[in-house]
Amino acid sequence: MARVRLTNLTKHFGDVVAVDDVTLDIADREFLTLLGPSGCGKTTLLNMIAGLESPTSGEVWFDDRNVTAVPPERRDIAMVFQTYALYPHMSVFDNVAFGLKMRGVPAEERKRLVLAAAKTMEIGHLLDRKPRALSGGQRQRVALARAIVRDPGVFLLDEPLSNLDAQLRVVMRTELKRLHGDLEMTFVYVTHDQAESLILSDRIVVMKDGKIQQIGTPESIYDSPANTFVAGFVGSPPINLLKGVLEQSGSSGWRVVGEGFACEVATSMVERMEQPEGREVSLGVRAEDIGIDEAPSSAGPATETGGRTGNKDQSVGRAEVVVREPMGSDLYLTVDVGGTNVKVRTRPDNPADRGDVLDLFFDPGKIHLFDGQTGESLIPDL
Amino acid sequence: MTVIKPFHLMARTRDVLPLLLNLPAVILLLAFIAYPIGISFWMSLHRYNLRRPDQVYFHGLENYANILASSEFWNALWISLYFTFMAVLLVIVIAMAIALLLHESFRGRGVVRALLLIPWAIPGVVNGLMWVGLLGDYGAFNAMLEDSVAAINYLFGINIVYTGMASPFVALNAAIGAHVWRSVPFACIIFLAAIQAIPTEQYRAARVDGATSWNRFRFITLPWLYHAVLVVAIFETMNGFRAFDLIYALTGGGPGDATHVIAWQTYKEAFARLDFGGANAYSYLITLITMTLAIIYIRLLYRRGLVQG
Repeated sequence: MARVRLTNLTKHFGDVVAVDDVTLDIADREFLTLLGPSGCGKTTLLNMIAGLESPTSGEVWFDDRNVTAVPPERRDIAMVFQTYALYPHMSVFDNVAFGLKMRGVPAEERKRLVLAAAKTMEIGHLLDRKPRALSGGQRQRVALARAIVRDPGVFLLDEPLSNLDAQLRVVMRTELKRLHGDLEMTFVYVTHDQAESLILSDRIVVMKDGKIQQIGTPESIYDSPANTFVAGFVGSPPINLLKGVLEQSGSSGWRVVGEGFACEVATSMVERMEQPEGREVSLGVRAEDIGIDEAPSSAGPATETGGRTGNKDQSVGRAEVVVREPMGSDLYLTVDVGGTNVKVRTRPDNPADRGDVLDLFFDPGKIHLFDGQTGESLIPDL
Repeated sequence: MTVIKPFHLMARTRDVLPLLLNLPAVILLLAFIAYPIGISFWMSLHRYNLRRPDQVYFHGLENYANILASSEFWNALWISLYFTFMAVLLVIVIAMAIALLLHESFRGRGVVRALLLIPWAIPGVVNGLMWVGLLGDYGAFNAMLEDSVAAINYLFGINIVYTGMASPFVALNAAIGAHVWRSVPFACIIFLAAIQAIPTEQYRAARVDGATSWNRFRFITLPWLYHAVLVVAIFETMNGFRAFDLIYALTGGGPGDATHVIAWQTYKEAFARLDFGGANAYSYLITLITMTLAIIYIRLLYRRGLVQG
């Protein structure tokens, strides 16, 4: 059990700023994910929590204890590494028992704890084997058993699933979630896989270039991204971003006009802005929030698409289908909006194909506005 | 049948061509390796002494029997075993210590690593002569040793007489020291390469598991180095048993028979006694001993599962 607090944590490697002034409060028993592309500093941040890296400045607190200068062996942590880092010359039993042995736990007690951890991770039948005789998934389980056997307060995981094949990753993802439910530990999980972070986390910290971009629940990260980076990084396929300019439409309404589209936006989005008229913005809309006209190139009435009803009056523009990608349960169409590729998710039975020209409808409640220069969200915090 | 012939010829060509291309190498190997090995064994089964060039005849294993019955051989064998054991032990310990140091990053590490190789590049005879300079009557090491002995005598109120290289004990251990000095670089390179191959995450995991630096060495570094240790042990055992050039230059086998290692004994048989039959038998015995030791090493480590096949 441990609450982890990071205050103004910074790490320099020579001239490179790996982690830049990170302040973070991780609640006891929370599942927190550090999400970002490679080189964003998430692993360095994790290593500083572990004590494997010492911060250039800033502090690390476990509950009421300042552990900034405390070596890893005297912090109450366990860690799972991307490569598992099992000791190749030791049996599975010895691998799991190593941490207990180093801490002077008596042999009898050690055996009892190892067997219990092995039972939790379902590796009881593998205890005599050497790591090289195990499959990737089994090694992963051993690495987890080695971590949980000491019953640490904080459980640190550094991309633990990235060496597994796609199917196994899904299985182990579920396993991790179960583990977090069963164990009373704080989980800090590093990944570059946004899907993993959305599925596993209580909260996600999105990082880029050593800086925190946004902290929030998976829902808030997905629904209200703080900037174009977060919007583009979280969600698959990535959010569609269209460059445009804000202008007045009619008497009181506003719309974003760009190459090949014009989209009405709610007045509430604009009213708190200074000088909205003519402001350059990026309009973000996710693939599932775009509706299409189901009868391509016909003058017939608009029909229900993408789970929403489109109305010819609300069409933001017409676009040509460039690529059709059926995915089983969904169909993804890539359409060309004024030279920008836009992904649209629709029902698999939609007949639209390459070359068809369709009307697009953006769900007005689901569009995002970002500053054209800084990429920061223009939607006021809720 | 006329149709078959070309195919038949082609098949022939396909079989013969590789042999043809390998032939030069094969001839060289046969001429310079297989033939000397064979002729040496054949000579070891003969009475073949240049002092009696008219009395060359086959007499089976008599050379071997004579050697095994001689006290000279057993003396030389024990000296060689001591020499080799000490050399292997010291080389492994010192080379590993240096390799661990050179693995740490510090200013000028590249220069130090390059400097390390110098002893390795020095020929054995030159090495021997260099140590003659250091350990001779007017050598710096000799003076230091003499002073140290005097200091010990003074401190403990005892009376050890220091006679320098005239002392069998000093001469033999000085030879071992010089041999180790020259052998450490090679072993060090092997250890350094092996240490660099250890994934850093192993150490991170061990630190999180609470292992102290000694335990990280004991449970991570050392097991990862078993293979390298095995390689070095085999090499150094062979080198130790074959040590000759250094001893030739440094002690000349003396004082008395203190540094009569088995290779020196071989030399003596051949070039002092001109007994080529006996010298060849000695050579074969050295080969047999080193091979036996190498097999024992490999067996031991493989059986313990420390080396991955």
